[in-house]
Amino acid sequence: MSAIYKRELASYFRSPIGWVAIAIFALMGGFFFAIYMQNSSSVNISDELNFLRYVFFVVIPLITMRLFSEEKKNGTEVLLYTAPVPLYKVVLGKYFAALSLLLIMVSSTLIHVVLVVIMGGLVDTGTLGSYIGFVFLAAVFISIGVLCSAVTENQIIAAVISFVVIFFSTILSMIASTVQSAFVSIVTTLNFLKLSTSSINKAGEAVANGINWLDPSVRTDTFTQGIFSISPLLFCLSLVILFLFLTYRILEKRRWSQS
Amino acid sequence: MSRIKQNNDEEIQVEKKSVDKRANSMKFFSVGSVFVIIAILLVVNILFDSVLGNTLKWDFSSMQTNSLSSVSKGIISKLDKDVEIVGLFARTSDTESTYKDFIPLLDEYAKYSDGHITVRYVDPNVYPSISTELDPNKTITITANTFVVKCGDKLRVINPADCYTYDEQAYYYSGQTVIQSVSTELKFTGAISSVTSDTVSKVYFTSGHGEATHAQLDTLLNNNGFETADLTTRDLTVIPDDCSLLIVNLPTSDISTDDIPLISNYLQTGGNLIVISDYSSATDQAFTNLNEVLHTMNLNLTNSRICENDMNYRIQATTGYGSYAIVPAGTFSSSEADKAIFAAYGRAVTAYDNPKSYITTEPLITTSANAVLEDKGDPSSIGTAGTQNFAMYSKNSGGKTDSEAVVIGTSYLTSDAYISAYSLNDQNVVFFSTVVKQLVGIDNTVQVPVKEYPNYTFTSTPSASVQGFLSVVLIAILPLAFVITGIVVYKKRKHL
Repeated sequence: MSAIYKRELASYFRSPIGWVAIAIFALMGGFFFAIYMQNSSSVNISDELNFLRYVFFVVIPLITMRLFSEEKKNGTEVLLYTAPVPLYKVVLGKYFAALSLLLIMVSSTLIHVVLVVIMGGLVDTGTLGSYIGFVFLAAVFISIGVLCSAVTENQIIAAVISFVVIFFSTILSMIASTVQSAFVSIVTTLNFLKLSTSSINKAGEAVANGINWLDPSVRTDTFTQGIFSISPLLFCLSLVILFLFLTYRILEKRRWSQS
Repeated sequence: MSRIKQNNDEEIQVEKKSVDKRANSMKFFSVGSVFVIIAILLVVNILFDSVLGNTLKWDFSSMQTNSLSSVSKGIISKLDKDVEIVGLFARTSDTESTYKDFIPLLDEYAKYSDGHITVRYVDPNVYPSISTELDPNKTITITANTFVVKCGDKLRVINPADCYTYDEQAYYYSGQTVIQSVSTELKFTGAISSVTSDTVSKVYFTSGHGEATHAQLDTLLNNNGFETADLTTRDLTVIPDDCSLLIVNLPTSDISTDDIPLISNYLQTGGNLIVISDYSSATDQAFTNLNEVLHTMNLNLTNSRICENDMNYRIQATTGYGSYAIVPAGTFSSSEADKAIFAAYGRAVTAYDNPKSYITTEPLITTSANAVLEDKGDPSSIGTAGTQNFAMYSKNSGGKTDSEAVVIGTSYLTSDAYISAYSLNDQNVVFFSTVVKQLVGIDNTVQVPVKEYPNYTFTSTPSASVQGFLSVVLIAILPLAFVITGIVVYKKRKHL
């Protein structure tokens, strides 16, 4: 697994992709920092990391799109299938390589933390929590990107699919609100059980809460306030396991169909 | 030949069947394993959330902003009524961020209430029926982006904006809005205590004498569990029995002669009175009739404006009409609090020459020892420098029940304009709230501390040129360096 991990990580820096991704991240982070430094003489690193979550839409598809689709396109995927390494290790190696690249990108914001400390700003537990929440959220989105890359051999299609999925994951709570509204409207119109308005509203809230429960962004939000909880981390890990397992199953199926 | 071919066909068919069977079992295993994994992960997460979700959660924020204090925990653990808290907005990742000082704390209320407190979020723009559901009798105005605390028919509305105090100096010097402290817990615990309380004290505001509006004061009093109402004293023969406190709020004209016995009788029967005046809303007004009432409590509202002459107490060096004031040790403060109050346009309050052994008076808010009184607000007619009273307190133990009165000679504790500008958490307003609660005799248990808000402002801001340099490095040089490195690497390896 370490050989695959090292090869993948090195490949990011042998092509422009890794450098461009880091540049995008540094640019957006630097932009936020500079604006707040100049306009309000205060920078909350938690706010910066919240802002950088929007960079996921671009950066994560960029760094994951080629992981499996390029192998398939180049015809080198057969080497992965026949290599004396279990397939799950191939998936994990590639996944951890992408995650490491993201950690390198995030570490570029540590310059901002140092600057905040030098300028006498506040770096508190909320900052640490924000980093933890940010990394776990990125871990989930990277696993989505890995899955999308395994689905198709076209890198652009892989990037577009992962962009769409990550985008919808991010606006899941807004979708919840819409679903809640639609649910209440439909139940109010049909209302065969003659439920009271209050009961219907509460049922609608339950539906919205259910969808919100699945939103990793909402689940990791409390970290930015210095509230540390195991539950959101376990949830993110579960999503990572699920998406990587799906990736593994897709590759496994492909290996069987080739043989 | 044909037999051999037939045998081969049969073998191929058998092998194909075997492959199909294996492919089907693989497909079944593949799909099945995915469902099993999803089921396991769901069960693990749901179980973890419900069993250990709240236990394995720690608030490491500097001021424990998102955790309940022992005071609140004590109050909500004793609840025997069900309370519903409704956030009037949809809970999305955006609102999670906007209401980050509310949502985690409300989760704590639900957690520690043993099922007595439920919290939910409803967008009234999507569900207009929520207003009727919460308040069928339409006693309050329910608007989006506020919180409603409800127990039975009792409701309290909490506006998130009232939960913050801002750094006035930062705003004054740089125009920036910097949050200084947050009193979310104070507001919600107060509201919960209020809606679950069996007894309600009623505060009446007199009207008909040009009194000021008191919308902010209503909110303050309601948050502290009081009901408020206006009371037109004309044609009234007796103050209502349920009146726990009567407030004469910044009258511009004197009370009528008919009001004198009305209010005096109220005081004689153990009533509580607060008179608020200043030298801005009513200038050169002697308040002869009002003073006749106050004299029964050995208090006197003068027709003199206070001018602070001690530069250490003045807000602005050029004028003595706005100053910091002192709360002396006494009934409402265990020790002297210097510069605890910000007062302006003060009308002096003095003890009246009506010494009775059963009447005790004491200063409540004073100037420094170097203030003067301007008779009838005339700067050229000043008295001797000394300590002047912005407010005084009196207790009359001569009747069957003790009566108490407070006369405040500045509007800077209670006026709508002041509270709107400085919020309900301002120390002037909090002091007034303490006075009211003590007068009415409410057990002052809801004393949840206001929590300091983390301040991210730089203490040593670099010069503009350094900031400009840093901005160029962070926005241009650093990202460009990465891009150039990428291009160089790509060009070198292009032909490999």
